[in-house]
Amino acid sequence: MVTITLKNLRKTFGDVIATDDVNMVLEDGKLSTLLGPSGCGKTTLLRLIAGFYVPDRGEIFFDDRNVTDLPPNKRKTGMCFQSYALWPHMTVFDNIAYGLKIKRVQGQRYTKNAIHKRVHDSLELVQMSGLGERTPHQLSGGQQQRVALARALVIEPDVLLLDEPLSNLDAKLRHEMREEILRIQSELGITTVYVTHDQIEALSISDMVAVMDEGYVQQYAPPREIYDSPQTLFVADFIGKCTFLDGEISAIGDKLSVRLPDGQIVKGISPLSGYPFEINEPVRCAVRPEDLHNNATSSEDNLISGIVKQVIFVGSNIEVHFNVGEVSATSLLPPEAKLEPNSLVKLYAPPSQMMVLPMGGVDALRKIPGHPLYASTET
Amino acid sequence: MSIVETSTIEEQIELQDLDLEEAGFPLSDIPIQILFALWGGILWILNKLYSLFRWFFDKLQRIYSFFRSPGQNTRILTVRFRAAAEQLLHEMDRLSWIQLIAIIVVFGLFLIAPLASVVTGSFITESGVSLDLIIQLFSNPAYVPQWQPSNFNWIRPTGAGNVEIWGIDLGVILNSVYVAVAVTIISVILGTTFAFIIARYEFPGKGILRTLLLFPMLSTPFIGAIGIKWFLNANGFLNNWADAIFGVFGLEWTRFEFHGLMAIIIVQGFSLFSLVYLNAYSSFMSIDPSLEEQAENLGATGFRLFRSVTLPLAMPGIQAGAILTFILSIEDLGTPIVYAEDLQAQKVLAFQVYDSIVGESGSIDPLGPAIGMILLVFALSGFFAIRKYASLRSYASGSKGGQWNPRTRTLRRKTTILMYLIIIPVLLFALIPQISVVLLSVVQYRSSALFPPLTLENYGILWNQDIQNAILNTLKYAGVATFGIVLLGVSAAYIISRRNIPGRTAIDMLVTSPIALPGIVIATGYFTLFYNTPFFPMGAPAFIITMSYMVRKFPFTVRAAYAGLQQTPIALEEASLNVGASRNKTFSSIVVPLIGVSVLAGALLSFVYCVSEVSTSLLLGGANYNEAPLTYWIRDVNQGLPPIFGAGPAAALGVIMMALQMIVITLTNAVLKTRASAMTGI
Repeated sequence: MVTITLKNLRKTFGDVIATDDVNMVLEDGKLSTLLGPSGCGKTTLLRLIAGFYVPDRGEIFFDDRNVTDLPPNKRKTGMCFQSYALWPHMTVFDNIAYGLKIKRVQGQRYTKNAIHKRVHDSLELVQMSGLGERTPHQLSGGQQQRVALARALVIEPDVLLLDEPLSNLDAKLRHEMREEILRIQSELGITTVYVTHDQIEALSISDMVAVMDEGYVQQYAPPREIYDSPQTLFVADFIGKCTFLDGEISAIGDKLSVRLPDGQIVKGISPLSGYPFEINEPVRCAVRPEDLHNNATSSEDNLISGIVKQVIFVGSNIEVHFNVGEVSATSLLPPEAKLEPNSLVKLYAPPSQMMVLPMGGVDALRKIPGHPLYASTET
Repeated sequence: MSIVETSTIEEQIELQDLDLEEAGFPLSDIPIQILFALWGGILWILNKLYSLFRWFFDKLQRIYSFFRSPGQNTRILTVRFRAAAEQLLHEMDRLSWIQLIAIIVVFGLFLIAPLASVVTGSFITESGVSLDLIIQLFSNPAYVPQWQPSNFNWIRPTGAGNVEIWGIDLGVILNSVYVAVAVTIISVILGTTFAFIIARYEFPGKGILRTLLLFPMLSTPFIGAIGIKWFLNANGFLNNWADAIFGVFGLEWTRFEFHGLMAIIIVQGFSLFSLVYLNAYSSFMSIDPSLEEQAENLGATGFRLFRSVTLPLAMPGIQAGAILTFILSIEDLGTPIVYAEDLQAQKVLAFQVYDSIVGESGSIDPLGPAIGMILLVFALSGFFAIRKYASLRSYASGSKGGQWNPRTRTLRRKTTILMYLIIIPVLLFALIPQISVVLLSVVQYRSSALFPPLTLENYGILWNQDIQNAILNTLKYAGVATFGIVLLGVSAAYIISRRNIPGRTAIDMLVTSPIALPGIVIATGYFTLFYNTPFFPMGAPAFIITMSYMVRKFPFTVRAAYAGLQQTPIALEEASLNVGASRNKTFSSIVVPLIGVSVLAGALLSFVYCVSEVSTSLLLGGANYNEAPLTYWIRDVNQGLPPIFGAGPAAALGVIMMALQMIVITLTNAVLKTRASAMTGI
């Protein structure tokens, strides 16, 4: 089991920057997720760790071994491909045994019996016992996924790499396999990197989540922190729902005061500790729908008033879409709230839930002393 | 919107009557339409030529702009070169290096060097570098266009009341070009029509038609010519039957026969159309049905649908087939040799090159390389045109073929019968090369009866010592060459499709170019470069024949292996690397088993085409007939005296060759299905 350290990684394809300025420590035995929309560089990062790409600059360490120039077959990673990549000309057994036949332990190879035993153990681990003699095309999608997992795990890799492993499965199976991967991962305690574009999946299974956009790691933190204090506007927008109100800083103190275009002043705090806010700097306030209440809880609460546009009943709550000036906003209210379209609505948000974020994404992070991106402002 | 929904059609017309016009089709429009179509066709060809020149010009411009500021550009180039070198070092491992170097050495020695020697040979005379040979060539009235009225006299009645149909002699160079153009037109019309019918209609007997259409693949024009010459003779099978049938109705049939260039056009047209057919068929089959359905949904049916959607989508394949037909026609040596007794038939480029080399002594008329160079220019232009227009697109769509059910329509009975009435005679004509060779091989010598007595005497030639020796030689050369082709071909395909190295496209061009390069020019190069060296000792052509087969028939296996690799996701290889296998281990245990079948099919094709190779066999075989392959002997037998030699026994040998090819083509067709790109090597 190893800790993976990524230092200042950059990978380009021609003129396209696939991923840049990546500094992360993926800790031993933890499940870390790379989350982001398609094209954000998450798969590139995974393939850099697997060794299928060589970075343009930067280094990759497994513990204190520098593996940057090590070919993929020497890295001892077990990877599950999005397409599963099961070899169609081999049986399930042969697919899994393949890596064992190649593996050498102190120059010696596994005996036939040892291979047999290990393959059967791994089939048992993924609950596929007895299906060893089938060929891949006789298996369902979920079964293929299990075989791919077994094949990656049987060689006892230092790192388990999963590239959108559940994206080809239906909803029910996806849920089942998610539990399965969690169980196996915690059973083996293996350092795991998991790539996905599904935020629910990422938040529910990960120890750590790295949210990526346009090649940059926007935030790398535990799931709760990602949701509660997003560090960039992208993270706030991508994870969960947010209402955004543009404004300018009018006062800096214990709490930040933001003047909205219509003159209202709202108070909030910034999840970015250490960011040097300036007076009159344009900022954006973000508030989660569930943090907009129809009753004030304290005198400090920000009052936000707008015109109701649409009320949608979503079961446990009602979703209210309203306009604050030109900005459309969303709030989640208890179902007993009586609201009619085109009526005036007054909502209250406690300053502790009103997140003030600087404009710009990664550039803002570069201004924070101590942030991994702070040092790497040179372009 | 609401107006349209609520108003009646009459109201709509009233509202929009200024924008409507009569949808009928007055008869007087037909000639105008035809004129427009002709004009459109001319514009299209001009446009194609223009874009080809533009492309060529752009390349020149890039070279020119490099020299405008050499200092800076050299620096840029150095940086790029260094990056490329790094890329190369990173991508390649020891096995890849061995593979790459082997490919470059073999192709450099046995393809590039001979061609280069032909080119330089045509500029260098005893007096140093000069254009003497070229000037000599173009000032020779036999080569440049001549416009004498007698040349246009192409229908010549003979004293016996027969009609001989000749070609028009315009000088060697133009002869070759217009013959090739005519052959291409015949091939495109025949090939595209058959391909469309097979690809789109469902009718009883379709399976038989499909199998029959594979037959033309089997015969080189050389074998076909032997049969056709007899079949279409004034006293030949066809004329006899036509005469008899006309006689029944009391009519007079004018016996006719083809001579000279016209004979070449007929033979090649009927033999080569299958190239267009296969490419067009594969294109039609790989058109996503939803594209056509969408057009139908918008109201296009019938000919409009064909013209506006189907044909443009199939165009790359048809173009590729057409250009290949052009090249194969212009470099074909077999047909002119069979018709060589008509002096006009000798007046084509390929025959002139052949004539300039006397095999046994190795001496070459210096004009030979110069003529060969003209052939080479045509062939290379054609090859680049194929690459530019067709292959890029067929690469992209190649892996998708066969995923959907292609659109087919069941014909009504009346239409079916009508179609049979048209197709069966056309098909019979198209199959004349095959039918006639088989007939000729079993018909008694000089019989002109309607039902000539059948005999197997002609096959007695198989007991001839020389022939047995030649068959053995052929199998030996083809076997060794195929072995080499598989080793190097799989390597080449793997490097092209999987190794991201600089110059990959160049390697791809190099290994696929032999399909278009005239064998006769390559063979000339062997003579000028290697004669009397260890590669090609005097009177011992065995090694050089094998190498010529290997280089010439390389593309078939490369294409097949490449197609196989395209259908194998790279993730399968990455998964193997990921669990610890080295690249070599991955290659042997994952890649090879997965593409094995494709490679086998490609190898079989390469083998078959080695066996039927004509031009290099004839030229190189001349160095020592004891080591000459079967095709050389077929020519010898054909020119020999009956009854032991002559056309009959030659046809018998042709039939043997066709039978061998038939077996292989059936096998490969079953494996490769509609992937004609591998079948024709484009």
